[in-house]
Amino acid sequence: MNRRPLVFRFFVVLVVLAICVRSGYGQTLKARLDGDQVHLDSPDLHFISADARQVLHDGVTVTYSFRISISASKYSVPAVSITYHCVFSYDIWEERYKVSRSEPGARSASHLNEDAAQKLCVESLTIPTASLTPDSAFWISLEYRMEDRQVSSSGEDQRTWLGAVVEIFSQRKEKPQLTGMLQGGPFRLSELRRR
Amino acid sequence: MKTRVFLGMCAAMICTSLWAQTAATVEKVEVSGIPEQTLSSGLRDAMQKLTGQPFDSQAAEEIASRIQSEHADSIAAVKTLPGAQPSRVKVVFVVARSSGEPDGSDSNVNSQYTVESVEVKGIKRNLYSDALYDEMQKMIGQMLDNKLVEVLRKKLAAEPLLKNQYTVSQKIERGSQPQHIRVIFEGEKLPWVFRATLGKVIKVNGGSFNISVGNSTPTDKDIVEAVDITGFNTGSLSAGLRDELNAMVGKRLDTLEINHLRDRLQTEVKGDYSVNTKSAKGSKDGTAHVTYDVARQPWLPFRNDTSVFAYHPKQGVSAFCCGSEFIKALFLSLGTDGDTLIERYKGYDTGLEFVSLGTRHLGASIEVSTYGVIWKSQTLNLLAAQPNLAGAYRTRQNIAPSVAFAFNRFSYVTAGMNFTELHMYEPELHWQSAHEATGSFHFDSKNIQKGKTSIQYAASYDIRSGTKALDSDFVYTRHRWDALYSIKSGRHKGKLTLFAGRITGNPPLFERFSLGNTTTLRGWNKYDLDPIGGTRLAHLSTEYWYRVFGFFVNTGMVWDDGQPAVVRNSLGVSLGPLALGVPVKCSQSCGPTFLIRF
Repeated sequence: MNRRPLVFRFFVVLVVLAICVRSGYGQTLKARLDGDQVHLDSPDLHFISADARQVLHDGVTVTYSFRISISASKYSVPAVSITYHCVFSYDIWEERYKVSRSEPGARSASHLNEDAAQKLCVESLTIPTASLTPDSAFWISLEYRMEDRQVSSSGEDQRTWLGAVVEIFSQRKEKPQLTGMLQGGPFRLSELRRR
Repeated sequence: MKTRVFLGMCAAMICTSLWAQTAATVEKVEVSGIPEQTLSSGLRDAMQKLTGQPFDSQAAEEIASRIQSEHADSIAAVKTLPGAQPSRVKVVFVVARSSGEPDGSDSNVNSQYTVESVEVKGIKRNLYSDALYDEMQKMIGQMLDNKLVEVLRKKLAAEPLLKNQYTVSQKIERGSQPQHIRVIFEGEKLPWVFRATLGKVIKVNGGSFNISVGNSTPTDKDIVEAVDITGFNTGSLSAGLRDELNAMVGKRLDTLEINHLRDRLQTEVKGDYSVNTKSAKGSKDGTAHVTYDVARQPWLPFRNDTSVFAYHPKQGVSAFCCGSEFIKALFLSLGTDGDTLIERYKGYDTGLEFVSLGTRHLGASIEVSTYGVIWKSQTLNLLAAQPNLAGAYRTRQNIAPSVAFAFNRFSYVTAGMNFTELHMYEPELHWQSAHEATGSFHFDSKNIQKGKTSIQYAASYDIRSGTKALDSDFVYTRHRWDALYSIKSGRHKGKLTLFAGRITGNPPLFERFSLGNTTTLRGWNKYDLDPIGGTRLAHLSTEYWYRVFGFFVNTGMVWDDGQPAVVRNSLGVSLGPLALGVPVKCSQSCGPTFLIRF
């Protein structure tokens, strides 16, 4: 066995993966204060995956759910959790995105490019300052997940391991369901940048 | 919907005011959102009279008002588009149904476009009903109703000749004219094996499972109708958690929320129980039922796990796998393993194991194994030079009954016998016995959760003794101590493992210690270090992981009583199951070694 090329290839793979991970480091979560709401900002966050994009370009609505968790330290149990949903659709004629925050409270914007739609969605995720202690440090975790969009073929049944296999093989266009998580902190309400 | 129409109207007003300044000539007048034929002839005439005239926003607004009066459930707005020439304009009366619904989760920006055609691809026309076909075609001329498309897709999938045979998805494409779209339903035939078995129950060893696909899985569109907890008295849960669980009822199914509450539930019921989540369709269409299954965990673990999947360039592939799918107590492993011992064995290992014999304190197992054994030339050469050691054998057969007693979920002891028969090569093929009494003590703290940090520490001691009292040809005593400390915080993980061993007497080769495989002294080759193994052992492994990337340092020594112990080190990096181990201060015959271990 020629060991040197094998070792070299292994390191090349490691370097490539390290670069990939490094790109993940760029996704930082920031917070700013606007009135009685803390708004989130993550300019580098691109959560719309290639699969989700394909679904959107097929004219179908895609929903992402976001869960904001507030904790006292980076790894402690969240004290406050808030869930939001952002609904994306893609205008097949104008080739622009529309994003709606469905709950809590509805708001929407259209004629956006993909980056702007994602940014607007993240910016619409807010934390009421009433749920935060003014002088205590806190961490914010943002989990996101593309909601399942089911494409069915039958009626009543039960999900089994084999059923899952069937779904994998039979719904290859319908399975994109990516998750991700960002964390930022420590923040203090009194030190947050005001809009 | 109202928002959209309002925005459309605003845009129309702006456009109108801009165009009014230049008094552009109306080139064409169109209606979008409803078929033009549904308007009265008088209104249609009035619209066409705008053609060729300078654009008059007031006249256009009057026509929009007349459209609204003829379609009471709609809102009409005037939209102007650039014409073929700069001085010309095209006027479109955009008509939308005023459903009064706010922009919700089903809002789709393409709902502003008119459906030009509805097609079904991949499914022959004779496989679905005329009624459904007609229903689909009724969408033509209307503005896209995303909910209706979803309903029709479900109906198509549920057609008798398509159910369990096809999956159906939908997509939208641009139409032949601007502002028009084509709705396409795409059917895809399932692989034959699934079509043949869907919806049928297959019995296996008394159990059953249902093979099928479909809409059993609720989606985020469904409303939670009930949240149940099974296997645990909910009265023992905190009021806060109970309230949060109940608060899910009536809301949309939210997987993140379900998982969050599962974690909280797990924290409250402690490690003596495991919590699993099941989400299923509810009793009514559009509803979901969430169940948290809380199951009491046995105190004793399964002890007969011999599975190995590994590759070492100088030791070959090891694949020894296990199964206990149909009857939990029955295990069966088979394959070949050249990683664990000095020998490479191939064969099977089967038996029965009960982790709870009426009580969680008591367990028992009986294991039967038969292996053919292959030796490396380095081992055979060294054995030839040391005739006082137990020799090589061709076959190894073993019966091992044992019982286990758990004090609690953290610690247990075992006691048993190993009746091993060895088909020895030298001086001629003959059978010898290695009959052992065995005992062990195990402690495992399990994962101690502190916030998002979990810590585990474990220790064990194992003793095996071959004795004449059990009619053994080999007389020896083998001790082994193991310790583990592991910490996980977020995506970071650290692990420290330490083990040591000592053998007195003359043990058979399968009991001798070795180092230099895919888990110990990674990068070294055990056949270079000590081809026949040793009777003394010490090894320390330190690992750090970030996600799937790891770094490790191994230190260890294996030697025989009366010989000097040589400390050897290795370090390396890991990527999931892949690792590159680099021996430290080794001779020219060794170097970085690529390893795989699952």
